[in-house]
Amino acid sequence: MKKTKWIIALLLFGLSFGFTSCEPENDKDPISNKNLPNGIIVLCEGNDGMNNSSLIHYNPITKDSMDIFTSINGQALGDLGNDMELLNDKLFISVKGSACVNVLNSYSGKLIKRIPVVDEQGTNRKPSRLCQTQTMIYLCTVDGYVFEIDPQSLSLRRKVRVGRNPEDICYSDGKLYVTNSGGLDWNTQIGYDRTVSVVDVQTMTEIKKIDVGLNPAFIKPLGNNLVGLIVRGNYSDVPNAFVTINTTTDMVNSSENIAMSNFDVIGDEILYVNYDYIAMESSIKIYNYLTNMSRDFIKTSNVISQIISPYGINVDNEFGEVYITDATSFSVSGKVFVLDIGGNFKYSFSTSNIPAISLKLAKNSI
Amino acid sequence: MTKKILFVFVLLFFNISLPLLAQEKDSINSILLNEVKITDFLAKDTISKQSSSSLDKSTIEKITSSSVGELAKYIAGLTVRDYGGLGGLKTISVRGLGSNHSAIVYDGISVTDFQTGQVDLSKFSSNNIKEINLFNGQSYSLLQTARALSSSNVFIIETLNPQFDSLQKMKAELKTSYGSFNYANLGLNVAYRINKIWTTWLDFDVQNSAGNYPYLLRYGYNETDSTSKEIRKNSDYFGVRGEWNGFASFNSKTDLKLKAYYFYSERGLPMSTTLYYLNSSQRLWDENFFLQASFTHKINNRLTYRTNAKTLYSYSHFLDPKTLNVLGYQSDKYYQREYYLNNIFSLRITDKLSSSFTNDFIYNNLNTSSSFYSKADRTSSISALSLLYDNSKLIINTNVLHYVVSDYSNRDIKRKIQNYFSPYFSVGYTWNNIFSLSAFFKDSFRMPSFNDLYFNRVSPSILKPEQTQQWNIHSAFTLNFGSYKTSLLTISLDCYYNNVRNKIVAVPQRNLFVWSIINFGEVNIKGLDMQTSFRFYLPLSIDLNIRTTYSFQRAIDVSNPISNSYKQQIPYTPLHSGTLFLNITHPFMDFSYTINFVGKRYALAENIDRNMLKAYMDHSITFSKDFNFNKTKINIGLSCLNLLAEQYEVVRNYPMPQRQFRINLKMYLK
Repeated sequence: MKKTKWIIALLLFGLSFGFTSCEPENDKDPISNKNLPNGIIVLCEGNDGMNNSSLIHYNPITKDSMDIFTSINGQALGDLGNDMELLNDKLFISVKGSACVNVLNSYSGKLIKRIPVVDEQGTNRKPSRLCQTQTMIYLCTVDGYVFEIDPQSLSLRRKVRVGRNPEDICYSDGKLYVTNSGGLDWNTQIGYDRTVSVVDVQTMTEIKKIDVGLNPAFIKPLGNNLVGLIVRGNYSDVPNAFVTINTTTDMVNSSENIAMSNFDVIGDEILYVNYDYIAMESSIKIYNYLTNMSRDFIKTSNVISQIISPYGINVDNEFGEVYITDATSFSVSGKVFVLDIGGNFKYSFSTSNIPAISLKLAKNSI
Repeated sequence: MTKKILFVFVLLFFNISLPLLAQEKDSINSILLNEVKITDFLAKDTISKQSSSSLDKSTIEKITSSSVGELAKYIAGLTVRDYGGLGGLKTISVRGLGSNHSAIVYDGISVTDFQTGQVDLSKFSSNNIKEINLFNGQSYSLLQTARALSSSNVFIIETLNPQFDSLQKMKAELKTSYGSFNYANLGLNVAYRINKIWTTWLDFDVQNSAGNYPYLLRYGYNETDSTSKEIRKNSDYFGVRGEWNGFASFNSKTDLKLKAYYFYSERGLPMSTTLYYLNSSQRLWDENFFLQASFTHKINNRLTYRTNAKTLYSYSHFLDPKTLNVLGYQSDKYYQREYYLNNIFSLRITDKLSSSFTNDFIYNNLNTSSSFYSKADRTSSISALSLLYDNSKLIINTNVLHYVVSDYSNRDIKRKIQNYFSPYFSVGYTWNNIFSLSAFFKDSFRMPSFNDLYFNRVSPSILKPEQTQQWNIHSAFTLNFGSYKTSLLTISLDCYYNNVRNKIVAVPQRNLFVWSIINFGEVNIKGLDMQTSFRFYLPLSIDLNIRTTYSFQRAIDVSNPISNSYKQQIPYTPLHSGTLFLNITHPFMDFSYTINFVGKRYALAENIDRNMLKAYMDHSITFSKDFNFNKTKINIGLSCLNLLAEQYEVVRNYPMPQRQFRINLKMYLK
């Protein structure tokens, strides 16, 4: 069954090659056995239940933008792509609705393996966010686990139970930090969770749970023996906060007077995005978590007003670029704004629905 | 199995109860149910004098369908959102206005769901349906409930009522069908004339389907992308409906209609076909029970009084046995109640001028185990004052409607009271019953549903009603021709402009888990509906019927000029759609052919390839034949639905069944 599907897919893929010359839009098509050109790849989550998650490749030279996952593999990414992580020549994409992690060759864009992430009964564990050490990939799943993925064998290896409904995962100092949001109990007596699970990578065991505040979400290593995370609160009386955890002392420091929906690390500070639905205003600011001060990031005028719903933010410290994704109205195409690390606007391009994560592909030669 | 038991039960009930009812003998020939009809047009004219579309009894009998949701596809200007299969949700949207703007009237009184604001037409089996009428704007009838007048349009479902021959006291109809994917349907209608005054009938219906139909799953929107053959899972349905009706015609001035209705269903919710993970185990149980009564009395030559009353209990239970919360499942139960009272006074001021006053008083409440809100209620009073001038050529109809509504939930504790007025005006002229021209303007609105108000994480802001305005020009042409002028040709054409403002939409807040409901957006709809109907009596006793509908609607989002969705066709609204119904009746055999065409649509706000749903054409064919045994008529039919096995979707990722076969058996016992 599965085999025939693949044969058909291959045949059709072959056919599409045969017709390449007739199809005008394929003239500028980067698909071939060649590598993908250098550029930016953007994971677009898509809308729930629509199977329209996509992987957009943007070539800043030709200004071409296309869904490379579908066009190269003849099948769509699935429903609700949640995160991606690049490790050497492999790109790992977790797809929450489709219960899998897709592993792609980052040079060709070809699917190497689709790893199913289901439990013993075959139920979707809802793979959400990924992180990496230099040698391994770690995945947290909404059903409360962290899995180790071996980039060589491309299989799920060890697993460890953490808290309720992990939202995000990061790696620092030989430990994994997992934010337990408990989000699926928000409307029950139990309510949100308020902990971060600390997992020792060596033994793959949960060392402890640290109380950080109601509904913890995105987490990233900050350097200086700190990890930083957003605590979302309950969207009414418990406010949003930014929390740091000292990875050696486990000391928690929380600043409650700051509202942010997503962030990334920029030097010794963080760069965050937020949208205030009451004031209907976007803010994109640099925040110094040591001094508690924040300042505007974007220097170019008239750029902030073009960003309707800032959603994802990624800083590429190596190339000195910042990618801010704009989910616009969430049901239409999104946009990515590319800036330099100093906050000067470079260019923007259009993507598919709900762009979330952007990565630079720089090692692919044309 | 359950079906059989229920059937036996119904038969037993009748065997016991009928002799008791049959005590009073009389042989007077009161033939038809003498309903009091005063200034009640309801499409009884040969020429349509206002914007409407209907399916009559003979057409409904010849279209192979299992629910009103499937029949509604043949009504002009209407789009059915169908999630596929027997148990798939089927809601209607008329002329781009959205399903919450339509009143669904079942035997005179609105059917409501205050939780969602939408009525699922898959719950109404087509077995006992006599007629369906859709009135754009509203009907000219002066004896209507205020609730029907308050909607943008009204979709009227009338069920079969018995028509007795003289001397006849009892009759029964038995309808069964069996078809692909274990589709089984049994319908029984037993009518009994108790005496000169009272007639009673009982209607019973049970439907079942395994719903495990095959479909083709596409892994991309390009033709070259992979596909696989799959079978729809967790799509089973079982539904049972029982209805008791009583009708009393005390004299030519007074009548009373009573109805008791019970419905139960259990279904699997197959969910959208998620790529690489086709697995669903969600279930839904529904139970509805209502009692309704309608009493009409002609006080004198000028004044008529009617009252309608209804009490409703409805229960629904949603279960997701695989939720990743602490319990490991989600189980929500919703209980809705409605108490409804309507009073209408209709006064004939002169021969040509009439007026009416109608008031509805409605109390609804909802209790739930879900903690979004556990108790909410709404008290509404709707009043309308109407004027109708009709000199058989010129018709002028106008009304003004007043709506006062008070909402309460235990979440925001405060009672909110809102007040609205809305007008309607219509004028029409008919020439010699051949050609008619009419126009209407209507301003109406829909209140937010309980889900809109309370079903979100962030405290609700004050929601205004969603407003619509409709402008419509209707023309109709009728011609009788042929020998004895028995052949008939009718054509009608409608052009309209609709506008929806303050649309009630969900927008995300902070992230994709937190949505809130706000009034945002505006839609402009320009459209055209064309309907034709031909009836030819041909030689060799051939009776040919052809009915066609064609709709064009350009429904564009004009909410936000800087958005990508600006001036784009709104989701799930085809630019072109149409139907064909062809029937040849001959003493030897009856043949019907139907086509339902829906043009390309978009699943999301942007009109781009990746959001597009392809156009489709669904062909169905039915052969049937009557057999007469002295007192019994048997009709056997064979039908093939989706003859060309087209794989299509009405709603993205909800595939529709391909080819299906059905055998139908109808028995009419006298």
